[in-house]
Amino acid sequence: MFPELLFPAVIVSKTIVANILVCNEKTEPYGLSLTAIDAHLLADTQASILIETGRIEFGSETLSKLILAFCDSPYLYPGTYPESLEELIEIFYHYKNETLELISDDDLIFEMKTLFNGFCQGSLEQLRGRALEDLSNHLKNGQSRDLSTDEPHAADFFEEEEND
Amino acid sequence: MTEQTPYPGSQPLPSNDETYFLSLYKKAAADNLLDASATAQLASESMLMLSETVCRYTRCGSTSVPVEIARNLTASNFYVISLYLKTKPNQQAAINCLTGQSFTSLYDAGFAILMRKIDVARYFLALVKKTKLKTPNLAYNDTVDHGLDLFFREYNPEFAAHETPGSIDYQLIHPVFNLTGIEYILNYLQRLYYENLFCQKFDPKTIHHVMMSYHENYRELLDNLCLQIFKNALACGILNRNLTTLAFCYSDLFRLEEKWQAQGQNDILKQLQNESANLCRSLKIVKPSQQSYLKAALNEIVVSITNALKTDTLDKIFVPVKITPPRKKVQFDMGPKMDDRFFRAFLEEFNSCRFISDKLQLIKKDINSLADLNDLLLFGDITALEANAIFDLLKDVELAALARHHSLFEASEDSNLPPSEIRIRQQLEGYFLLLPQKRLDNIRLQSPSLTIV
Repeated sequence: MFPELLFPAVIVSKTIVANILVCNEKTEPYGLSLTAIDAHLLADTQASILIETGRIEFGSETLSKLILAFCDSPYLYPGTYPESLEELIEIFYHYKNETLELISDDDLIFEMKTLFNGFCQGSLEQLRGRALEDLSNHLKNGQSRDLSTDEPHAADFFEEEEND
Repeated sequence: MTEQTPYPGSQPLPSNDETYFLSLYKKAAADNLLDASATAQLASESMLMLSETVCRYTRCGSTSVPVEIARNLTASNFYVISLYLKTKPNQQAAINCLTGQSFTSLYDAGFAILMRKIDVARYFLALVKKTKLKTPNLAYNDTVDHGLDLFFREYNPEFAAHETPGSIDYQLIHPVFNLTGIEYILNYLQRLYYENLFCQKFDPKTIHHVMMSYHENYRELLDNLCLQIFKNALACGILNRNLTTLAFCYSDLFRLEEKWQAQGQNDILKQLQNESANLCRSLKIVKPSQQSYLKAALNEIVVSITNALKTDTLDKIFVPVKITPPRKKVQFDMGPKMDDRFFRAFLEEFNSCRFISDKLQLIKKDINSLADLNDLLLFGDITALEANAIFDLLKDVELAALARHHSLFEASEDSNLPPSEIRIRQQLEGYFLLLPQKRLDNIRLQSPSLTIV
């Protein structure tokens, strides 16, 4: 429909990489930091995920927002930090689609962090699965959620353990 | 055949999927009117505009959107810019705007035009509703009463300017092609308004009779109403029939068919063009744009006439009106017939008369029933002039009875009838042509309700 010059599919810029590296100032106190290569790989990951999920990104701060939101999580470890961030990026864009644009970037990142640190207890698999699915269904059914109190039900947690 | 003139106001685009802006861009690129830096500049400004639009669309809540949404937002932006570029006198001037002005200024100018067009479209919607036809046709009523309103409720000029929401089922004489969004609706409303204005020149009952003759179930058809009225009006003009009733009979059509079989398409077109001009004068249609709208239909009508002449289906183009007879049927007694011997003697004497006055005297003296007069017309030596003089002796109801008896106002092929029957029908038709229109209408109205005994 549109000539490529007017509508490039992917926007990858040096700004994104630079913004990622700036975050190290805030994340290093928590023992987490990214090298320039890590930053480039994350930016490439973001570009790939955008293509996979059929989205186009106009901002350069989404990755920075994710990094800064999760940097104080007790469940992120230096050894697996870049890989965890990659998964979080993938989960973020996947659920932007699943929630049909009904939730803003900041609110989704907040939800992800709250669920990851709380109900999911650091399990990215849990986060990607049931936790955010419930949120997505709530939003699509028009049910409001109190974003400030998102503690899991203890009973739900033990039910999950029994089913495993 | 003259080249078809596109309907005035239509602006053909290269493709249904492209906005004017994109087609202009492609042409400029193909003609090397845009260098690399100009192209890069356009790309950059386009993405910046899209980024701002996405921010507004998501209320600055998201910096990413699905590609499909981004494409739609871009299409909307380009559509708005196209509105401004189309105001330029030629393509070169439009391309100069592309390279000389910022995207934002192009968009702002286009958006101002878009909002004005919405106002104008609302104005035409009010006019269309004010001139709405009284008709049972469902597509027409649904479109005017609901479908067009839906467009104005759901149209999103900011994020979906290129889309055409609404439910528009009714087909125009000249459908709107290659336009979307507000341009489509504005053109549609203008054309529907012209059609309403034309149809308003006729009584709704007359229109109903014509359409019922066209198809009993026209209520549920998607066919255009105005076109059939226009065609019948043209036929009435050519046949010198009463325009207000839009009515003519099958025998009128047969004569028209015979006349046109011997003529080429160009001659038929010229006749229709002349008749269209006459029609506009008679109906006081003075707006040039409305006259052009009707005139632009003639080429298509001529093509359909040409095909109908080959397939003997001219009555599908120009529809003879079947006026529904009143429910109450009236019996008409043609009267007793005289004895055959007396009739033969009478006939011999009648045929030997040299002067028409003598013939008329004889009729007045010896013919006492319409049945006998009918037999005289069938078997006597009667010229067309003499037949007219005989018909002058009859009242309207007797003429209606004769027309009914010989099925004059119904479809039937002359070739299946005996020569005497054909002759009496032709004589009756010839006489009816001389009658004042009011009298003829009265006879036409009475005829179907008579049961001849």
